[in-house]
Amino acid sequence: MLLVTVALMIEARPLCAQLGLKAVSGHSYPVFQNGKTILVVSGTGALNASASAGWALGRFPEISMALNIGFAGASETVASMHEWRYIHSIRDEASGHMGIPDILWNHPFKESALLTVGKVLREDIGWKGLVDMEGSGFYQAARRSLAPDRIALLKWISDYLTGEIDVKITERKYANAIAEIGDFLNHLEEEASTCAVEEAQSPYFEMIQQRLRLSQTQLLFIEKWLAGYIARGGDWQLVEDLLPEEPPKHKSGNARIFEQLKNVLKG
Amino acid sequence: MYSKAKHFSHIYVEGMVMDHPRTREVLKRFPRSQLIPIDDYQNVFGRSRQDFWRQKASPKLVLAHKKENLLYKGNVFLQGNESPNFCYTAQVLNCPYDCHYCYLQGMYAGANIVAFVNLEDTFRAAEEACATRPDPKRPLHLAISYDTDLLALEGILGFGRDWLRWAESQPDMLVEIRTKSAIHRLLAEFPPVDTVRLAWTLSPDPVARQYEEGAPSLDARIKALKHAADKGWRISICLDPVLMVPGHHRVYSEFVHKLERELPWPQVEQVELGVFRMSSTHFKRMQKRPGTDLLHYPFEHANNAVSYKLEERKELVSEVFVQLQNSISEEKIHLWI
Repeated sequence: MLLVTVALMIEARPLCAQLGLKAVSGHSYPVFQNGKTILVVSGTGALNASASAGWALGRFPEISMALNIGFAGASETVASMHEWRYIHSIRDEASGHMGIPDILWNHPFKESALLTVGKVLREDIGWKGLVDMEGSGFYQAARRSLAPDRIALLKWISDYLTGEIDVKITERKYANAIAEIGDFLNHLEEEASTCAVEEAQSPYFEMIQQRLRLSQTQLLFIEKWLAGYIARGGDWQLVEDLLPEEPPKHKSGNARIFEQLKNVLKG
Repeated sequence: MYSKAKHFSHIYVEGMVMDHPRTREVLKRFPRSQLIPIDDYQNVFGRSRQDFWRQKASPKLVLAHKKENLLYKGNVFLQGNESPNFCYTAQVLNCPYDCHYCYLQGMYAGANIVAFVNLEDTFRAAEEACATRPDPKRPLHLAISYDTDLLALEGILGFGRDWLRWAESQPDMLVEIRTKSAIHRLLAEFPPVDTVRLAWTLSPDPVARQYEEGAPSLDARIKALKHAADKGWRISICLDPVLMVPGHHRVYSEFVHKLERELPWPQVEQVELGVFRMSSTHFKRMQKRPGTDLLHYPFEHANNAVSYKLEERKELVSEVFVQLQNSISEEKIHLWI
């Protein structure tokens, strides 16, 4: 599943329309969802971005990718108004910490560095990249659960660091801009679904889990041995022959089959 | 549009070496890559929870300044450690090839290639180590291509040339450059250097094809080795690791016969022969590698090391060892079992 986070409702609405996301009530944050994507509106600021991303990743363990999308400012010399930029590095102004997502796929955007600040900038500070208020918080929280190639930040230039935007014009232009990146969003949704399948436990492991009563430690060993057995092209039938229709009632019965499985899986 | 990004689509450069001449040389070769300034190479290389094998499909380049540990002493897993004068450098971390058995995938957190551009500091450290080497009667044995394949990266980094130029003026040094590459251009351009030995790692063709992704074929490596020998370079070969692959008797027998026929044996200074062995810590991480059978053999785990059982190790090595003696004298074969 793909997690999308935005700071404001104005940023969320066109995404909901584009991806067909429906509001889901009863959560700590405004949440919109379809089968493949969950969108969370965090509120402004790095702290909110961090808290909401952390909440979503804890609440929905099926999330395998995360995207932070939304407005950013930039000097006129860095980027054009209403242009998309894919973020290759994030600097947190307060801590100086640098975050670097891996970019392993081609994409249609220009790339920029992002500086996350604590308050709205009303003047050019000479930073040769984009400026926002959420990126670093989102990235740091997402990294607690995801590899750096599973995190993306996509920013849209909403102002030239004046601190002011015309809400109506911005809303309309942003909605058009979201429609233009529909392909990219669909690609991310697909990618998130694919890696979720890759990371799912094998059906064989599932079967062993259902037909034996094993401890967590035993299951960890089974998972490891099974990966090797499959990689060596082991015969699944040999394993299946050992499995009872139902889990043995006594601990000793489970232990005996565990040992037999061990002999087969370890080769 | 959403295909894998090309190798080195992004080049991360430490601020400290942004204006270094070698950095500029490397960047000139990649005009279309995205340049990203960083504070420290560990910002990229040392991140936790990276996916080594997904990165391997689209590795990035990191240019940095090596601040410490310019030279390392040998350890029990490395060849050459029997010499008190042995040491190695890690001026480049990670390799362009993707060998299933390689310890690098268990050693580093990420698959990106880090190149430390301040070679001169390492040259100085090696000169100091040479002046104070334990056995002054023998040269300082300096391996410069252990945690990478320096010659395979020559078109990208150009470090090989600098090492050769430096080695020309180091009479008390034996610089060993280990490689699987099929490099010809550097050898064509450079006259042989007496203090440099090129060491080709050779594997049977079925092993190279299945387990050494991206590396040149056995024939291509032999061709490069012969080219080097013809030009008068000092050469050695490494048959390491010998692997327990299906039909290993036949595979390795045919392999050694091929080497018997095709290698310029009088010029081969030594053969390193060893079986697959690994530190347990590296092996544990390597086992997460998807889609390989090689790392799921029922290995023996003992003394913080992973390898085949002793009888298997002896069996694997002895056949090759006996056959090799048709081509090279026994004392020139160094065994690692």
